[in-house]
Amino acid sequence: MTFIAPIKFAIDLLAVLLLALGIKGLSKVRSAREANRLAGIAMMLAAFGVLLNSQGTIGISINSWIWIICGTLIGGLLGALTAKRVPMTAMPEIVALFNGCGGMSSLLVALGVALFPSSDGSDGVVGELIRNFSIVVSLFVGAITFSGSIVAMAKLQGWLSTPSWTQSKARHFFNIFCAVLALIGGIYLSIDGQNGLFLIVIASSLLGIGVTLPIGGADMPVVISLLNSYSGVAAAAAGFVVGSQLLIVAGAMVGAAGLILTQVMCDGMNRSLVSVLFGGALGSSSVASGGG
Amino acid sequence: MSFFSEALWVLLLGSLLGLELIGKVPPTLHTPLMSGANAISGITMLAALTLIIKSGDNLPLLIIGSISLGFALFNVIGGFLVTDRMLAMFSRKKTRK
Repeated sequence: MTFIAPIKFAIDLLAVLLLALGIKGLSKVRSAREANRLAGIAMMLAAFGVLLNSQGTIGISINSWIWIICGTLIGGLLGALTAKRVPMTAMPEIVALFNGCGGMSSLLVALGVALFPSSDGSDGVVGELIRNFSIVVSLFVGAITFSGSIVAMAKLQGWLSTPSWTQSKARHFFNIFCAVLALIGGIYLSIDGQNGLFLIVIASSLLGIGVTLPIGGADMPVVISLLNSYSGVAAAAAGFVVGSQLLIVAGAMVGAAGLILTQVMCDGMNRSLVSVLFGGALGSSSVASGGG
Repeated sequence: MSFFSEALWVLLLGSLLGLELIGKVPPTLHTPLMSGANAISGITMLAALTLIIKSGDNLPLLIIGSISLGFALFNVIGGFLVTDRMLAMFSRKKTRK
């Protein structure tokens, strides 16, 4: 079984290389389609690497296989169906929906690890603290990504309008209140690893809603790109939680690239990120004209 | 502790790589690039897989892991297919319907 770890290592390196080439290629029209396929292949390789390594070292029980296959089939089929069915005009909404689900996935992983800790204390005090902290980050960012993306999708679909209170100063107090609650929960959780779990999840979900709801439809693509960057951060945090270097690289890469893309999109619309996030839907025109 | 110190290096270098990967993006590619990057961020499916494999016979944990895997795969497969559909509109070889 000694030869499996090097193979896994090689697969991981190859996957990271392909993912980086994929992101790079996606920013040029000529190579974009191949780059997208390349990234898809990299994802399959990475999943294969994890399965191979676990099968070789600790073994995967029949129970685990059943649940893996269930999750794969249901998620994959729904994803494929949604991707095939959705009209081309609804693309930003669907990207928001997918993105929210990615955030939800990171959140659930962190929730699972926090509810059923399996650590044997071999990491020491500092290691334990880092692990708890990454659980907090994963929960916080994952919840914001999920609720924010769903709100963004609902607004683009026209299911949600912009309530008037979100255009007043009240929303800043609401958001700060949620952020403080989440912070308190985070501090509790990073100290003892149990308390404050659901406080973080609820407070950061509300924060995601409170931040996204006031933003007008024209600015939504920028917000979705920002949320996409967040889901990369959530993935990197989940990488810390389960101890996977590959996950950390990929998450960090998407997080940083998403941030740059957000900036590029803002520049393309001649707006600053600050005015998109805090300007609001109704006051935004004056901010934009004042800035431009 | 060794894992975490290595992991922090990996985090730092990965972030720097991500910052440099995208330079100039033509505006037509903003949405496909966003969608493609989004599909890649579904890589949390590896975390979900690891969670399921390590959970043994703990049923609640298996269920949480399975739901998480489902969400992640929804993101990954849907994301790549949607990006491919968007990019198919750019190809010059095929005639548009």
